[in-house]
Amino acid sequence: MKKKKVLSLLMTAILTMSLAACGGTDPDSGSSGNSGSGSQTEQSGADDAGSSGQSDADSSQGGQSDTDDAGSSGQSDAGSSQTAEGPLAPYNETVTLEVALMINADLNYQEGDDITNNPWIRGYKEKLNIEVVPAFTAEWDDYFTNINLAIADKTLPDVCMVQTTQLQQLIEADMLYDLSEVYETYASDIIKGYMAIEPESFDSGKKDGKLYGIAQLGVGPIAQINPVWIRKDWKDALNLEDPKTMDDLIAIEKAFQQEYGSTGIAADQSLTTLKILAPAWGAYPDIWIQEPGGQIGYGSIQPEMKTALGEWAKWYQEGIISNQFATANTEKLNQDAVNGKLGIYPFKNWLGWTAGTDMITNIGPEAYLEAYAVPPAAGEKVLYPLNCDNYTYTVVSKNCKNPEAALKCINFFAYMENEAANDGISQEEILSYFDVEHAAQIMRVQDPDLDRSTYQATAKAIAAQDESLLETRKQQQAYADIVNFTNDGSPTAVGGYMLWGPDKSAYSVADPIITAGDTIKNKVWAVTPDVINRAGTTLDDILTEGFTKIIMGEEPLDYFDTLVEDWRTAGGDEATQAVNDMYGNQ
Amino acid sequence: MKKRLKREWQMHLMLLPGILLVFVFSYIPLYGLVIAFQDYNPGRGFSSPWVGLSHFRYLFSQPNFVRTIWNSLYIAIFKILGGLLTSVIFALLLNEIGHRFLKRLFQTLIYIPNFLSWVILAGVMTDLLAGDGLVNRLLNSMNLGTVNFLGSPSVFPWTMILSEIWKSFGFGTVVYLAALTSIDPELYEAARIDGAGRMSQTRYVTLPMLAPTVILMLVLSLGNVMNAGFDQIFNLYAPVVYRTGDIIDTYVYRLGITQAQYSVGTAVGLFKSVISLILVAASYVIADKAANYRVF
Repeated sequence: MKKKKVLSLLMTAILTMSLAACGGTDPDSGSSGNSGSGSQTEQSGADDAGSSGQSDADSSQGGQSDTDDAGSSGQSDAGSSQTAEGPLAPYNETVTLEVALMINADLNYQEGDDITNNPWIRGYKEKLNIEVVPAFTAEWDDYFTNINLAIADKTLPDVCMVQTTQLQQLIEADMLYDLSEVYETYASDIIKGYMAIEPESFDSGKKDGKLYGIAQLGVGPIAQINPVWIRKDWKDALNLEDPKTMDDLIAIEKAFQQEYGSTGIAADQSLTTLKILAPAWGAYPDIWIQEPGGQIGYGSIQPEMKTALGEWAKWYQEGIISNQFATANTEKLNQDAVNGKLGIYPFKNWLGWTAGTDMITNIGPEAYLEAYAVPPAAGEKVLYPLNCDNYTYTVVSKNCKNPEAALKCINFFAYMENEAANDGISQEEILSYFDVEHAAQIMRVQDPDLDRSTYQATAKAIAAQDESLLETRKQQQAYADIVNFTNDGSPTAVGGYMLWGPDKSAYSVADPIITAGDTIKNKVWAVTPDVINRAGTTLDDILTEGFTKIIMGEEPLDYFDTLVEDWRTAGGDEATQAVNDMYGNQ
Repeated sequence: MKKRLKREWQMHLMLLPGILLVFVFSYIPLYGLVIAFQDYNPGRGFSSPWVGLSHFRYLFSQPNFVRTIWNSLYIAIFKILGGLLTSVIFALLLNEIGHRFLKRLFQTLIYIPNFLSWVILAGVMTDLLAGDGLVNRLLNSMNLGTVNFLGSPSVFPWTMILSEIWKSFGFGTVVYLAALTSIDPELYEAARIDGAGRMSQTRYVTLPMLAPTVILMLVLSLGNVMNAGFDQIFNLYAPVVYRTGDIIDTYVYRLGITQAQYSVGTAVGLFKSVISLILVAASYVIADKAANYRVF
């Protein structure tokens, strides 16, 4: 009997251990998987904030542009591509290029095509005699994991796309080809023109004067102007004026609360939406700015920020922002918007694709949001913060035999985008390329003026009611969205309408701001000092946590000064020093 | 000893694959811990520059790092103890259910949440526990006021602890039920003859017989004492509750694991392992002293 007991206990123990082992690995793999997806979110978040948030929008619009954008290629000239050694001269013998390709699940390939066989891959072969062989194919987050492995393994493919940290690691490990000469000789004038618009981004690919990574650039500053979105049907029904000052905005919110039960101006736990309003008080959180003394300082710790926080604390007390904001995230805000609890929503220009679409679907075609510039609080002009929107680089392995081939492929993308139509290549053929634009993601440089020129051309066409003025695929798509939404209130078109629309759209607000130069550039551009990278978001977290307490009234406004001290000792001073060392006296 | 080895060598041979696996996948990678003391660059591998304890110094110089250690311990310990208690109680109660179908039904029902991902549960919980959510409306209707489950620093850790217990106690219950069925019925018979009622049987037979399993489970779970549940907290927390809800894993995540900071990540992992080792060793000694439980 005793034996039996021991045996059964043993069995239980073994069962438990094995189960516990499963249980042990389970949450673990769960958490690492989660942190993986977390980092993906983070990345696509950063992504959204800048360049390819726009290209998200692009891909949902199904690719972009074909012929010349008047605005961007003013600098370009087609002639140079004719010479034998020119940027687009085909090789006599087929050159093989091993490229790490990125899969983009949103792409709609033609029947039988995929990432390793598509118009671009065929184009490289036919037009340049470059045979692109995949080193590996992976989606966004896996892609960079694979690159990390390749770095550790020292088996970098001939050509791949890397992020800033990886670029630095690769340079340090001496694994990259010095592209300085190749770039000078082979980069087309279009590419050089793009780089001339964003010289800081271009230089960020250099180390000690040598060019190692070719900045892929973003879609330009216009995509970074964040408007205040206001629900049009509510505002019209109540006959409210456009907001000219912050007080107007508050008055509108109060009217919305009384009439429609709005729970407050959108505010979330990370303070993203409130920070969009901060420039109204001359505060520029999250970017580095010139302090009155000439030093570079962090925007979030300036006295103006304190003023803004003081106002927000009042808002919280008066219910101008929801008392639940400290736990709300963007999803919750979008839910509120769909449930008719939200009428004022400071947010990114792509709101139309998230909350916008759901609101139209659930409430009706009249329930969309109009964009307004951030109204000033004290009568002064509002400046909008700009960040560098270059996040990725094309790099060539040190062991690559034909580094110029990568440049030719990059040239090829810009050529197809800007000049192919002039050379008699049919619209249809060009479209076949740009329907799967992201298939060329690894070897392309984006036109930093693309969105702005597209908006302007589309606006002209809309004003003239003349479709023939549209020159590119992207313009046509924007035009179609505007027309479709105006005519049918189609939920699939509201995103495009809210972005490209002729009146009170994100870009109609942003375009004059860019023209007038009412922007303030982050002093930290393209290259972030190591100290700041090392701190991740923890430095900002100190401030976010404290700001939240101040807004909720848990701490008095003067707690701001304590908070700034905390921030300084936690590494803020070090960061400030590093930024001044890197960007001071410029 | 030698004799035994000669007699049982086949048995030992069968151990070999297991030992090899452990050696290859658990011991050799230990070498990688050196990167906690280096400024690791994957391109340069283990010959990256040596920086000694600078990553540890950096971590502990962060004013908000130390509190995450306490938060982790606080949340994890209450999760472990609460989970244990709940599992044992439920196992005892379920064991008393005579109806076979009902017993199985409840057993399954309490086990189900275990299979749900925190990503999904977090979405459900945010809705349920919101200021205007179902739970608060219920509390309001009973005039108990509104509780800010996810936004109040004093309540948040307990929201985490209780929801984790709710999610995972089914597993422990199943294990204890298995242990209960293995208790010899003759013991109960003898107890009944001695005049013991239901309560006394539980007190003097069931619990003592269950104790070894409880201690085993406890010791096993102590290895996780520094893991307060990244999935759960990451999906539910907000800056407003960092003070009490930020745990080591979430902090390190924000510190920039996303930016491929291998060295700092390894340093934290090493630190956690050291603390866990101490705690597991201590608990093992206590288990030995208190309940005569030994592995070796």
